[in-house]
Amino acid sequence: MGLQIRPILNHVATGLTEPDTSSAIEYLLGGLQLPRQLAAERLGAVWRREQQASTFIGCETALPHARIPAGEPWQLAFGCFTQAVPWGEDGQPVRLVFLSLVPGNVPVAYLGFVKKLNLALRNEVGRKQLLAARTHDAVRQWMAMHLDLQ
Amino acid sequence: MSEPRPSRAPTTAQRRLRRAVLELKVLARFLPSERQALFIWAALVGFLGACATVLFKWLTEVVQWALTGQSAGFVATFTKLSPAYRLGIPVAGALCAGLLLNWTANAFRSKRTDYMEAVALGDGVIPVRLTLLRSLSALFSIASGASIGKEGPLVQLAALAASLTAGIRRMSPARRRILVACGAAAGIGAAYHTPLAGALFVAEIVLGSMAMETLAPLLVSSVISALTIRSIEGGEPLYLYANFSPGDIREVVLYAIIGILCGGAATVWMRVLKVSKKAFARLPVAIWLRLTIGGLIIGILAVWYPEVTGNGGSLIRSLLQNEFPWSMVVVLLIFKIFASATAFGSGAVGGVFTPSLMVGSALGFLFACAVAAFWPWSSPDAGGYALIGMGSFLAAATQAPITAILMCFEMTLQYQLVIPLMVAVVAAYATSQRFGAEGLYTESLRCAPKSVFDRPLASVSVADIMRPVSAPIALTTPFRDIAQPFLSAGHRALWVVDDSGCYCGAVLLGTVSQFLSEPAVPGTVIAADIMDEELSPLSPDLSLPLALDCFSRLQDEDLPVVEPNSKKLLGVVSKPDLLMIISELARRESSRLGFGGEG
Repeated sequence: MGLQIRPILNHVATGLTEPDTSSAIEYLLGGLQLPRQLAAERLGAVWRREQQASTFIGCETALPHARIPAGEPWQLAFGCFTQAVPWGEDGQPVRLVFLSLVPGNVPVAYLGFVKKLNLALRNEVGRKQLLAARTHDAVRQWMAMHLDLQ
Repeated sequence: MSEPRPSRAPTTAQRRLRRAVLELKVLARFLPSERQALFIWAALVGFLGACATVLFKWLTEVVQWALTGQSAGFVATFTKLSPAYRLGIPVAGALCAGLLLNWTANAFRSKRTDYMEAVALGDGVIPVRLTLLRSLSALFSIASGASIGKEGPLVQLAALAASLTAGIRRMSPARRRILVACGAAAGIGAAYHTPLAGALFVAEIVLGSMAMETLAPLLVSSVISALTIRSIEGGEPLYLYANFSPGDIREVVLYAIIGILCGGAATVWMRVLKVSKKAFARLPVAIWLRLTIGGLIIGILAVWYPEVTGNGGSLIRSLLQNEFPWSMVVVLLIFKIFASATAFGSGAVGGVFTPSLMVGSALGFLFACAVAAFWPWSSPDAGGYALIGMGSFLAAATQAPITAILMCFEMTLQYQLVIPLMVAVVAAYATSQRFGAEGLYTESLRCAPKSVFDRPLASVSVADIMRPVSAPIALTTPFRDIAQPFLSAGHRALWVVDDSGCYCGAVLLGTVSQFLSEPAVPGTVIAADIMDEELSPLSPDLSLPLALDCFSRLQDEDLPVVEPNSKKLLGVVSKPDLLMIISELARRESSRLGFGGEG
């Protein structure tokens, strides 16, 4: 079943090395090329959400995100780190980060997205393919194949 | 570094989760609406009401046996006792009952226990300890032979069971009120083996509305109660009577005359009860002494006429079997009226429903005897006329003619009785109206404290009708913990609050239902990620019509009530409750303004 409302993959960065969670989030959010003030607001929102509860889901993956007003596009940035970033308070090692800005009116689509992503990353072959992806197109293809996203 | 491959065999926790999720999926698909759920609760209340009835009857027999050494009917028991016991037992029982009432009057501030007040005027809350203690007092009065009906406490206990059920389920006042009415219907249905009349009695007298919205759960409760009681006590009607056969068309005149007589007599009967109550109230003595004086009067009467003891049910059966000569019935009628008025006036806890039936049946019996003597071309069946008298007297005393007809039919299961009853009941009702009679229960409703249902619709706000939020969840509640409240309590929405209790949003069942079977949804998803922030909260001071307007723009059944400044979550209002309360308030308002308003 395809998702009715899909995130738009706006930024892909691979071969990253960041020392901690906040700089990893800041780097990926910067790739979405938002106006400066909006970017600062979104960064604050993502960070607040991260402080509420860690978004580390296992399999060296984290899904930092923030809710944005309904009607705005659902934006996604992907980052693959060559060295694991210690994530959250307990410093779990993270190499794959999907940062998303999710409109508040699509909770069902969001749940569908994180469910499929979690399933795909628990598949060792699928996860290795994602780790090997180096370009925007390669990540887009991986998402199309595993998450039913174009 | 590679992650360990997850085991294919599900763990116990996964199996439990899957089972819980499967249950929730089924629940979500077949989750009844609030109205449908009310039927289920009404059925449960019907069962509990029947159980309360059986328990109270059994306890009455136990106490009666302890006092008299016998557990037969009161008349049979007292007939076998020596005069000293006939005098002493009612006094002892009244003393115990009075001391209990004295203590409860001092120990509890609230005087409100009556289910009619709770349903007709209040929020459906019946105080537990006070009701149980008053029922215990009733137990002593009834078991010691007081001339009062045990149906009062039976119905009260059934209504208490309903009130408790509604309290446990944290139902809104409107829903609790309906459920307590269901309890009362169950109690009447169980006490008299009259499921249909039980439901109609509550609809007609207590709720004052025959609207299907309220009548349907009453019927469900009453039917379940009657079926339960039948499976325990058997399916016999309360008053067995050989086939009644109405006479020729000329007897219609007789039916009308007996109706007129009973209509007038019922008016007198209610005045007697009122005078007795006033006379006892004037006595400058404590409650316990007042009841003891009442017990003493009944004891003195019982020394010569043990038939005055009890609620009068066995006397009705004797009249139906023609066991007494008319002269004896005259004497018994006079003393029985005196004994019942004494018990009622002294403040003994109990009902006057069965004593009223007894008075009506005695009048019907005497009327048949008079007709047999002075109406040469007719030989009326005295037992049948006793039943017609009973029904017409009941109609006039309760001001509920439809209930009276149905009740007599269900208590005897004699369909042939219905046509004469209809004639007599209409005549009795019209006569009592002519005399300006009020129903037996009008006064208790008039004296009850004012409630939201007694106010004009325009003055009632959302704060008056909202129900408390059972279990608000925190913003950080993980997804796996969100399923449980949906599963265990059947909620359609979970209200999300921050650390200071301020409203943030709602997690809707529709949002999460398809994912609860998915262990693949990461536990890192929290309530804040998926809550709906678009539900417009209601303000507590919003009027009901404006609140309804808010609902009309939404599909949701519930809306949160939030304090406008602090954003504190105060409660929840559901659309069915709101509609029910507006409809009830509008009905009462139109009734007050003289536009009728029968639902």
